Amino acid sequence: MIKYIFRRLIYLIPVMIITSFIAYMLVYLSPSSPAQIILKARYTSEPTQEQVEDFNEEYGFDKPILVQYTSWLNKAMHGDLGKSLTDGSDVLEDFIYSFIASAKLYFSSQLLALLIALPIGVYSAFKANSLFDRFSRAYSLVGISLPDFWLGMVLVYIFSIMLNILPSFGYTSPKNLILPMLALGLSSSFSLIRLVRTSVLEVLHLNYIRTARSKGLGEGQIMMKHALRNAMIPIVTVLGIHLTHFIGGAVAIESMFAWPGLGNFFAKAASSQDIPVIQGFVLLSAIFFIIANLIIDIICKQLDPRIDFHNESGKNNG
Amino acid sequence: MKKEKLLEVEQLNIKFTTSIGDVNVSDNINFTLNKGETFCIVGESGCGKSVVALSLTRLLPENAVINGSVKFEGFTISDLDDKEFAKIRGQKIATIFEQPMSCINPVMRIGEQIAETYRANFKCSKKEAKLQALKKLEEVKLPANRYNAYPHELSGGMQQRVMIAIALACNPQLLIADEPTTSLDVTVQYQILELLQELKEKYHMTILMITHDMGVVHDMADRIGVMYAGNMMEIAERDAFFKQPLHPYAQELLNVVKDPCHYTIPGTVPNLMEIFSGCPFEPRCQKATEMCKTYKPENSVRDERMVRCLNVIPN
Repeated sequence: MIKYIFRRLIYLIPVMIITSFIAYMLVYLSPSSPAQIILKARYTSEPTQEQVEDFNEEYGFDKPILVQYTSWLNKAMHGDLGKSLTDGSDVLEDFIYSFIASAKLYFSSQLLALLIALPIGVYSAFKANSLFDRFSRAYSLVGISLPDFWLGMVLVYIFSIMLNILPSFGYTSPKNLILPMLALGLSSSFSLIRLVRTSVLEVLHLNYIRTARSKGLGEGQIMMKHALRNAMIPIVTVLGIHLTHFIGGAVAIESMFAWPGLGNFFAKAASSQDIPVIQGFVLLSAIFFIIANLIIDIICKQLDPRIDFHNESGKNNG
Repeated sequence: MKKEKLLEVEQLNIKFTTSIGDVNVSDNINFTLNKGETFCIVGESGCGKSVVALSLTRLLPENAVINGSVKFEGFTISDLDDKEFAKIRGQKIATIFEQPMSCINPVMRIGEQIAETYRANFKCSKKEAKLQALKKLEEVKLPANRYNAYPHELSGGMQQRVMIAIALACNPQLLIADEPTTSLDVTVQYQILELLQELKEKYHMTILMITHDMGVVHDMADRIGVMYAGNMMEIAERDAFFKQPLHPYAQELLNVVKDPCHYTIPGTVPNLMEIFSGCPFEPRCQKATEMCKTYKPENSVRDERMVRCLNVIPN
């Protein structure tokens, strides 16, 4: 197990190099130059040729691309991700600040989604085709069709405008978290309800559930001890895949509630061609994803002992 | 010697309601199990043997409609509601299934699955249940250090031993074994049957065994029931049965065993969605007469023997 974790962490090195190189190349290939965009923003007028050259020299953009990249990589390995071209702030600090904001929003909303979806989905599967099940299926189908920002707008209208009890934007007080968390959490709960229902229903038809019944267990025990744990395996896997939403998925909600999360942060950097920020962002995101996936894999292994870390083919059903 | 009855099944009718119509899998089946005996139900696949066995402990899917009376120790259990019925499962009547791999929970340690049965039926501490589970592991001849193993770490034969240990955790009076050896290879089959026989004697258990293997029947059964297309065609004591099966279908089954390489019963098992006006075996029966097409045979019983055929009377 520890050996496996170590091996997975070693994968980090090539992945970091490759992703950051690709990111560097993509920025280089884009037709507009950072100097043009940033100087235009700085002086609010078209920059002169001289200004552009000075800028390029100052930041090293006049050097060949590979030299630029290796010098960046060298600094990055020493923990220095450079400074933003637009406001001169430290990239690593900015990233951490946005990361924490994103994490607050993401994890609280996913927790909310799970708290809503688990009981509803499980009960739906338990009483499949009952009135409750039909209602919850219709409810989640309607919910899936609603975009999260629409939900956010409705929530703002109800809680900020009509009732005036919650702020509609901001980051400073814990109250600010409530509306964006509700919007994101509710909108992810809809699809999660369906996922929980299907996975539990699938497990309930398996032979070992019949065995559990033949042992004299009550329906509640069968659900909690036998069905749910097996049904959690696909649910956790999907939640792991959903982690990609951590970065990009909440852009609409983040900008709507002026939440300083990663989505906002990256969108701003990309539109202003802020190369150090983009680079740092790509690198740190890659690290985050690899570690997050590793954690998901370890949780799956805890849930399903058939997963064999030493056997790359995965499940061993033989 | 008067035999004590453990289970009495009367007028058991089972059908499955499906979107394309009803499937009748049990047509007025009657049989009794005497205490301490092994009763084998044989027949081809698709004759409703397993359905009859599973219906006794209500383990069928929800679309099954069961009618009839089932008495256990003289007490009608078919009238109990589901909650009360759960108390009978495991404690009084236990079941083992075919394909043990799919029948034990893949993510739970096998020892815990055995202990859980015990705890579900007798209020006791975890420690006590674990001791009982270890005892059962020993009885099914698995080493105690396998307590913490997961099902996928065991072979098919060992998995079936775990299944038996789970079933016997509460020392039930009746064990329903639904094709317990079907998915196992021949030598393991033999070991499992031997183990069942040994445990049966130790605990004075009654076994209801479902199988399509005449060899298993010959080794295990005290009495035999032959099922065809949801009908119990013949019930007989083992020796009398193998000496002279009365029902044409039973005779055909034995012909297959005598010459397994060359002989097959002509035709196939009928679709159970059909409603039979006559005898369901009539299309494949070599002794069928015109009468068999129109009249449904009734059970004719003499002493311990029952036959459901128009042309045969037990003597």
